Amino acid sequence: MATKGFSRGQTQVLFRHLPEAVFEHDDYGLCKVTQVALGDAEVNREALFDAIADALAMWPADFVKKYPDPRDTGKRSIYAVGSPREVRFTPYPQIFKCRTCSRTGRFTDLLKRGAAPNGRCSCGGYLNQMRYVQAHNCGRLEEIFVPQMRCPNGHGAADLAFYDPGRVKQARWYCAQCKADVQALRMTPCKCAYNDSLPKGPRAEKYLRVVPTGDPSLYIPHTVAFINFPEDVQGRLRGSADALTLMLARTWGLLPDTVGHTLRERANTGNQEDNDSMAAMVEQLRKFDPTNELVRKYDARKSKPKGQDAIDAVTKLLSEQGVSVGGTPRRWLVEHTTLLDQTDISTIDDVASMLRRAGDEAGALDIEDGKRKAAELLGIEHIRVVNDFPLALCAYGYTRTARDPARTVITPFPVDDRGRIPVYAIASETEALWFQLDPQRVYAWLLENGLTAGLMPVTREEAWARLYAEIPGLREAPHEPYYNQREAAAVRTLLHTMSHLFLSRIEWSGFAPSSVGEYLIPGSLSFMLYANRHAETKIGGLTTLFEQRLNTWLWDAAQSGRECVYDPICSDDGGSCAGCTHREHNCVAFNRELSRATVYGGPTPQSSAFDGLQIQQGFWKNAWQATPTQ
Amino acid sequence: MSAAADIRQRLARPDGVRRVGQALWMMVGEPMQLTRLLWARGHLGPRGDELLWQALEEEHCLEGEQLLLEPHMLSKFLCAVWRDSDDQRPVRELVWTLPSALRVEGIEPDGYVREAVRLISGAKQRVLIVSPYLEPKGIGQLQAPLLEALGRGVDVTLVAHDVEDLTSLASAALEPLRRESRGSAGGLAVYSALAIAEVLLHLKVVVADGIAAVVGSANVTGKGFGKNLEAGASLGADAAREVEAVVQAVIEQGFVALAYSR
Repeated sequence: MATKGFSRGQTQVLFRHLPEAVFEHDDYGLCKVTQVALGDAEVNREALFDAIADALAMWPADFVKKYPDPRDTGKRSIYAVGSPREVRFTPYPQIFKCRTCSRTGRFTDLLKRGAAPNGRCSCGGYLNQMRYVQAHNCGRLEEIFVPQMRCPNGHGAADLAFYDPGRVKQARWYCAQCKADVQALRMTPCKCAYNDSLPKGPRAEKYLRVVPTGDPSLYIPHTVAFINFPEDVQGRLRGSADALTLMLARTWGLLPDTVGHTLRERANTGNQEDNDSMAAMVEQLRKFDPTNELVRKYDARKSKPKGQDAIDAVTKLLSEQGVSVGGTPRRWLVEHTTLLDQTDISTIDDVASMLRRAGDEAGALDIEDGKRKAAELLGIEHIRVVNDFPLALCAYGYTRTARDPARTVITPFPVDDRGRIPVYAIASETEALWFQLDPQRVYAWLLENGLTAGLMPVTREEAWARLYAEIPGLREAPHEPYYNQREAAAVRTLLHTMSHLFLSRIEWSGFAPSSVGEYLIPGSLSFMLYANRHAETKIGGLTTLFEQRLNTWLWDAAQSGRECVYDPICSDDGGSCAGCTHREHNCVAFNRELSRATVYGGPTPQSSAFDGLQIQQGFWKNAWQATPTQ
Repeated sequence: MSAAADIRQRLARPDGVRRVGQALWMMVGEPMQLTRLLWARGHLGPRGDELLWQALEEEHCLEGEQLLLEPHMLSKFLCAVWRDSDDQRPVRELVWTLPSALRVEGIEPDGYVREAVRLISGAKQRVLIVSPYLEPKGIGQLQAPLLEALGRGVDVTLVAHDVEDLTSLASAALEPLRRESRGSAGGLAVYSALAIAEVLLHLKVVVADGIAAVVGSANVTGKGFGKNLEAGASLGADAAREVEAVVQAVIEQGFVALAYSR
């Protein structure tokens, strides 16, 4: 039968029309997708394979054996990654039943028996596709088994009819001529890894299950979303000399230019061949005109390569804290600088200017007031909107009959004509709000609550250096020695709690809390709230919130977050429960490291890194002053 | 033969060892260069300076980027050179993990993990870690030095059980290391012991550059490095090379399989 093609939106394809899916086409009836052509997809392949590895890790080892290990760079060439571009399908199942006489048979058998290819039975009735198939937990899909035997009265397979009462146990094959019973639906056994995992002995699960073609459990695509940081370029710079220092300088606000550009300029300065010819030319020019502007610029550049001031500043700040800068930048730092350098960011000042240009002076004053209150009362140094926060969604396989990894074998999509396993990914740009706390305020908060000791840093740069030197746990991964350092856990809890409190009032944006994800970068005192959308268009809810209601939203979140319906029990027990800070969806830390005490003061959870310590000074102790004036 | 063993054969006792030791001891704490060892040719013969430099490197006597001569390791090196040829015991030091409830005077309770970290931090070319069991809390303690080593181009090889299984604790333990090491100059190769091979992978070693090793009972786990009573021996170049050779044979003869590499 000829293969037909059709087009759908990429997201729709990713959820409903991937290879081996059965669907109903408006023109061709029931069909099975045979292939989805791959187009280009701009995804960070490292992040994609990490996401697939995380997803596959949910299945028992024997249930993911069809997948080459995505962690192994040598095996990644077995996967073909791309966006779904064109769907190809074929009619399926090819078992037909007469609407008039219920005679049933395979399409090829019906043709042989004289059933015309115009879709009519030998009795003249219309033939319809059988709306049942068989599926197993291992991913196997079969058409219904059609018996080939004669009926007890000797009538042949051409008279085989199907009685469909809507229940598998009562469905029967019978003879259309004499109405004699032939047999019940056959339970097809399966020999697969899933059955091997089951206890010995008869079990219904060991047989293929008859499923209506419209049953959602017949085909369950498995997708995974990930943040698609365009960090390939930045990642390559990790090995450069001074990369760590420059990234720190950029994060601490000491480097105005991008890290990539600065590193490239520094590398060019070191190009020996160019340097030699340039030096010769400059020396010739110097002989004629020692005060020439080009000569002076050259001398300045040679004496101080680009970014050297920032490097010197970071080195000096850290050496004053007894820390020598060295090594490769960690992932969090690469992510932070990548977002800063390679995304389209709007600041509050940008928006205020835009509003003034549009003649909305009141709006400009309001957002500037929001900025002031955020800085002075909420300890937030920067609030930015990222207009192209990179998200991606990829489909890596499917299951049948269930979604639960313990009860299904995940099956990769059929290999393409080059023998590679397709992985379908779509990259999208969504909107995000990026909050970065004031390092001086954070340090002061730690000091006020006895979480650290010493003198208050005089400048914000010194505060950054002190946090870097004294709280290594902020930049470590879980299970590294300092990760559970109490100061680090305190700052992470503060960031995470603030993130959840702002999310609790995210309805101001028009998004439901479940539609907004969070991402924390504790090393840079940052957290992000992003719209969890994979469509090609942006709704603009977070951007509008930022531009028009920032002041109101911040105040509302800060005020309403103070209370919980389970108070005083909740606040006495650490200020974290399903009634206040816990989120049902999209929490990166599974609702750990949360406490309203960090922002409002009070006892912390007993089981946390704080050991029930009483926070005397909440980070938002002055937030009440943010009450909007009429 | 290690450079230290070669020097031991070339030096006359006791005067030769005393003179070399005296000259080296006067340089303790100073940055070293090959040109500062030219005097060694008089004691060790032609290219004696290069041989001594190699020995100082192999025995981890040079510390940091400035290659400062480190007294503790220098003393161990001189002790090794001092022993006569009939008593070629390797440089050896016991290291321990002591349970928190147990304190023994003169023994570092976390000496085992500190020695492993020291070896990794000093590695210049390659690090080999074999540990049947891996846990996040164990590998977490080695993660920073391993990342630093990978960043400066050191190749890291890990051998453990169950790493090919994405769901295993060992896999989970190694994921942060694998992801953080992306883009590093050094390579990371992770091998998994095969369940079908009727050989139990049971040794626990950390080897750096084939010139120093810690061999003992502790797995790279939170308990192995922090709660159990574990003992190990810090060994020199001869033993380190032997361990490397055995593990290499284990890999080549198919007792373990490559789970992934980068």
